[in-house]
Amino acid sequence: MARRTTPRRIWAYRGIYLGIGLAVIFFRILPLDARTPGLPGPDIILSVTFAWVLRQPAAAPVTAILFLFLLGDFLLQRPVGLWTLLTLMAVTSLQNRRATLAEAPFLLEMAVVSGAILAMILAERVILWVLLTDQPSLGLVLMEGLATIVIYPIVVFVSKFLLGMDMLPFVDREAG
Amino acid sequence: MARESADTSHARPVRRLLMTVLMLCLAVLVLIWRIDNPRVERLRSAITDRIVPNLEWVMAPVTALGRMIDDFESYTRLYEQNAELRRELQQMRTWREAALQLEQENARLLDLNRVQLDPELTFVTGLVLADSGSPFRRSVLLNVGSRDGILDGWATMDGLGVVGRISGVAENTSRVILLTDSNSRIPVTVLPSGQRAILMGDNSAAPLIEFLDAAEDIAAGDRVITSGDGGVFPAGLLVGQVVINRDGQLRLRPSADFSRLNFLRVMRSHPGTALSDPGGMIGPPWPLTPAPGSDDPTPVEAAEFLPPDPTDPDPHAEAGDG
Repeated sequence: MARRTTPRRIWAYRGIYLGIGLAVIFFRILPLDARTPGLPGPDIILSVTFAWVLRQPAAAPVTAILFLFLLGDFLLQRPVGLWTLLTLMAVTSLQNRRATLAEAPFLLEMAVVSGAILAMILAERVILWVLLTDQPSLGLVLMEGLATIVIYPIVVFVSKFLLGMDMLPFVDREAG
Repeated sequence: MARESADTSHARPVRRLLMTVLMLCLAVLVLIWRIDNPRVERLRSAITDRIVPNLEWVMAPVTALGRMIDDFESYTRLYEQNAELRRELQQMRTWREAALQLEQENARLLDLNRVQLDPELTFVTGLVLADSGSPFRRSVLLNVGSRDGILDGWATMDGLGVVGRISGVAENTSRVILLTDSNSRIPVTVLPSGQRAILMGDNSAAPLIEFLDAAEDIAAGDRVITSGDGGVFPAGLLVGQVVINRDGQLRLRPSADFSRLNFLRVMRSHPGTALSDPGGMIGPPWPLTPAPGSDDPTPVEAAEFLPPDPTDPDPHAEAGDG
């Protein structure tokens, strides 16, 4: 346990987090093909954020989340600030549920994360509808959400076995 | 965990307060984006302008690599492509004969009429820097901007057909909203019948052709060119061909090759419309007299003309060009 509590390890995780996020944004704006893609890809940054916030909250600090998602909002032509806001809300509510999720089986965690993603999609649509803005088609958005949910176990697998990131027991936080 | 144990009992409420303030700020940002959209979009293009050109040294090799992989994949279909090309070449030979005759005839007629093709249509060539990066937005970023005199609203073409229009200009970069984007609306003319219509992008590969007078007069394969109605888009540029899908909807197959957008021409056509306020009431064009410099008539007059006269010379010029 002491092995992965060193600050150096935490800082390494933070570096990896920012690196993954910037790489994803970078690859998405590459001008490879301007035709309409058949299926929208998963939102990798979002699933990495959720997985890491649940495992080691210090590895994905709020400032990094804010930076990555705001940059994404600006560069990827999304409504400015909206997706960031929803992500921060989801992250906060997931962090409040760490007490139950830390000991729960993975399927439950998966269900909670899926619920969070779908709730974010729903909330985004409702807010855009209230603001009288043009919306992308529901099918495409749902497809992106589903892809994000499908990729979540892979992200968890990679962070657990390649990056050695285990679920941080909740007791420590409660004691503090 | 070193971090987490620092979360002492008095730090947690502070943290919660900070998060709430942060979320409120973000909510205000969303509202500002909605209320003062042009300003935030300018901020967005300024940020893009600051970041993307600096990334060019990484993006260029990765993009080139991706395109090479695409090209390599197309080698695997070489045999079919070859057969297809032979067939097309056969057809093209007959078309070439027809085109040569038409070109001579056209030159004769133009000479008789002393027509001068639109001298204002010069162009600036830009290189595609980046994609929109979102599956719901179809746009590309060009490496020419206000420094090169680009203005909002100008038409953008690849060698053959219209690709989209400039929307958002920064110092060094400008964004092109493609025909296929769901925000794209372009006034067009369907050629043999000369009907005016609006080309509406809907995020599919083939944008919709809407607001036609008599849709039954349109056949698949009809040529579609821009009509210049409303004065926001230059007239007479080739856009594509009509296709009719299974539901009987009229759609457009663009002439431009959207799978390979590399060099784009920005047509330097007219002053463009500045987006300075959120917009007003739609009424009659005001002032009612046309500007002396502009070559296209006011929309009221344009509606009275039938298209063959103003539109015919340009498509032939296009065909001769490409």
